[in-house]
Amino acid sequence: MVIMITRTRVLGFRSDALLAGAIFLAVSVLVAAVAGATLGAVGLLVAMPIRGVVGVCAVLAIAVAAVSRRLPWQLERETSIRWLEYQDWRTAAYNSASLSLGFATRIGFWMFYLVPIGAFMSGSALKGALVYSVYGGARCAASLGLAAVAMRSAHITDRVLNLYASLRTLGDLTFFTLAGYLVGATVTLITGGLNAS
Amino acid sequence: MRLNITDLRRTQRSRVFVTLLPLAVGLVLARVTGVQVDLVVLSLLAAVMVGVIQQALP
Repeated sequence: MVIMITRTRVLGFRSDALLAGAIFLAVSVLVAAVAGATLGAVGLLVAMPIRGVVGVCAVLAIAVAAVSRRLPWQLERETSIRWLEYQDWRTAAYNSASLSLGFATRIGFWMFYLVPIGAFMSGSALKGALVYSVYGGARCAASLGLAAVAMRSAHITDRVLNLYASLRTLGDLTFFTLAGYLVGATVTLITGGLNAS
Repeated sequence: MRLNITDLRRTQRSRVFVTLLPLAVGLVLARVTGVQVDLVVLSLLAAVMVGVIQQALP
């Protein structure tokens, strides 16, 4: 991923890094916003008690799978190496579009699934776009930051990669805590709504 | 063989600490706080965190 960004050329020069970074970030936010808005709009079409039940069932299904499997359901692939051959803005754009969707490449952390589920459960295209674009933006901004540091210190990438096992445990801890809260809060909202009506 | 069973039990025990315990904590928090935290805020928190830690993907 870091290699992709450092190889990007927008105007054909090595000094294009800033412009390439801007394209990388802008495309990631845009693509993720479209994905989130779509999920939010679908959520809007489903009335609240049913939307809540669908969301809770999805979270519980993922939680059950996550108890027995350390690796999440994912496509075992990375961004295409062929995109390096373009040597222009497409390297940044295609790469960031693929990364910001999340599911198009390896996911690595069960917690990712809270992003599409959260966008759906928000029941609003705007809120869905916000949730997903924050994910896409955070992922690509962190990639840019790492690429910038990697240009000065090549060892940083290896150090970050070595953190994977620890971060997966941290990710699982956070995922299950948030999943528990999400289920508890949604059930409270649904039962509260039913009692009120 | 005995070592394998011990390892398996240790793995299962640590998996419980990483999965079921935090799930229970989350459920209790939701009940205790009375749904003070908006679900969108919760999703935003997960979005930022997973986006950043995914840099460690091999």
